[in-house]
Amino acid sequence: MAVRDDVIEALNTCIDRLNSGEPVERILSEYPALANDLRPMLEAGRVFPRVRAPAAEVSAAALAGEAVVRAAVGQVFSAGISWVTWLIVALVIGGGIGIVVIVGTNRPPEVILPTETATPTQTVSPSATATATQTATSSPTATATPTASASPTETVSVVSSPTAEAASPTPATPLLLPIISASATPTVAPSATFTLAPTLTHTVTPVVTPVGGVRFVIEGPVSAIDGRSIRIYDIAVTLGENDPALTVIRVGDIVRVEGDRGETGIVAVTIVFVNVTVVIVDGLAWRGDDCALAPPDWAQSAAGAWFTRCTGGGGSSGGGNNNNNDDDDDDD
Amino acid sequence: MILLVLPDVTADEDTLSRARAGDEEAIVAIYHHYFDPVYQFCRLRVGDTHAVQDLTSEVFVRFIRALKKDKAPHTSLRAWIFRVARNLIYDHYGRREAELPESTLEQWVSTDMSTDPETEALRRIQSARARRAIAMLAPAQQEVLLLRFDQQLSLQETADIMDKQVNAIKALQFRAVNTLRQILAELETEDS
Repeated sequence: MAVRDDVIEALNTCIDRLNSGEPVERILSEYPALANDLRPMLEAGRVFPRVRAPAAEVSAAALAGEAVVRAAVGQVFSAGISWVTWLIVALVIGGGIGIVVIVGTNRPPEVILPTETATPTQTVSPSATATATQTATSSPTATATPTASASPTETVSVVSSPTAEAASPTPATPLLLPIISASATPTVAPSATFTLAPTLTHTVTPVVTPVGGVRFVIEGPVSAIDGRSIRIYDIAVTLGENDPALTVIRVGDIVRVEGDRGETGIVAVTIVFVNVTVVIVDGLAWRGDDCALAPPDWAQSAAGAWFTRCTGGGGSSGGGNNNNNDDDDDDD
Repeated sequence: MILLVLPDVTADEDTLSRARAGDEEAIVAIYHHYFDPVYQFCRLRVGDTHAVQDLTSEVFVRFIRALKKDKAPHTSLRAWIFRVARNLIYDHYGRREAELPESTLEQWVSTDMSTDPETEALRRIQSARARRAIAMLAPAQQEVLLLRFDQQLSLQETADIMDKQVNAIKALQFRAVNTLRQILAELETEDS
């Protein structure tokens, strides 16, 4: 059997429209010349039944799978945090980057609980609690347990519990951990000097959705038209207020829209009809899927497909359908 | 820059962004959004329900790993997930073709709930004939019909999943549906 491209194209469009919920007969009514070819094929395709496993089986599988998914999330995403945690702990224990030198002071112990917020998507809420007791000798012990997680919310908590023995006076062991780094230099005793506590540094990459410079392209069947808003795959696309395409567009048309992101969807910049010839000139629009509706004079130069299909010849156009809204002539 | 937005009923952008950041609830929301179609897709290709459950879970585990490595899709999540599912099904079958298993075909009955005996008898005959016809198609033809007619995926998504060009899918679905039509007609003649 010689396969005609127009049948292949039409079949594909019909399947799309069938999947978007249109009845077969309505679809075929728009393809009068090919209906006899398309109908048995669509009917054959539809014997592919919508088989569904029993709901109870699916629910049980979903429930069991959710446990697997949650475990995987914990495993995969906590792995990174754990690695960072251990690195910071290693730095702290090894006398890492930051330095808190306790030399001696008469100040009472301090508890510092800073809370800060980082923008745009990160909140940093470090907490630091430090206590120290000094007696005769100096044997500092420090424990730091920072915990960091990636955006959008990051929580850092550090607990440091140094213990220093010195004669007197009352120790002071502050530990400050603000957003990026911190160091504090209190004084403890004349002879007791030790280093502990880190500079905690973390990098946050905020999730930023690019807006400027992004052009959205969506192609598919129009499922609904409401004023100048059309829906394609449940995505709202808004056309210009006086866009002539609005006068000819129909539910079921396959269109390709390029546009920018708007508040409620995509704001169309260009719209191309894929499965039907549409000619738009100077604000006028003509739709060429009806052989009874000949193209007006201003549309004839771009309505070659209509002449080919409906008059069996090239018509008066002598050319394709080069308009700003059509890129093919497979409107059968 | 042009970002091609493939037809996709994805989890919303915010959910996907949160999923990328490791938000467990966002990932679970995406899981529930896609679980049913993925499960059904695997179920039609694999007869063993335990294997289907494992395969479906593995699809989402791979999704989570991809999120972590920032390799998760930025366009059609649905096509990406189905593609992973398809690869896992092929892995499941090893070097054999991922044919529709006979046990699955046996369950392919119409959802028509008619209680009329005559209608029921006709339905049984048609279902049996449909199963025989589908079983006679080549695996790639079965697959394209499964994706386009049953899963109702777009042409582009089907092409992505089957790793073919869009035009190749158009031709394949034409051959598949045309072959199916011919087989059904022959079987109908035999039965009558």
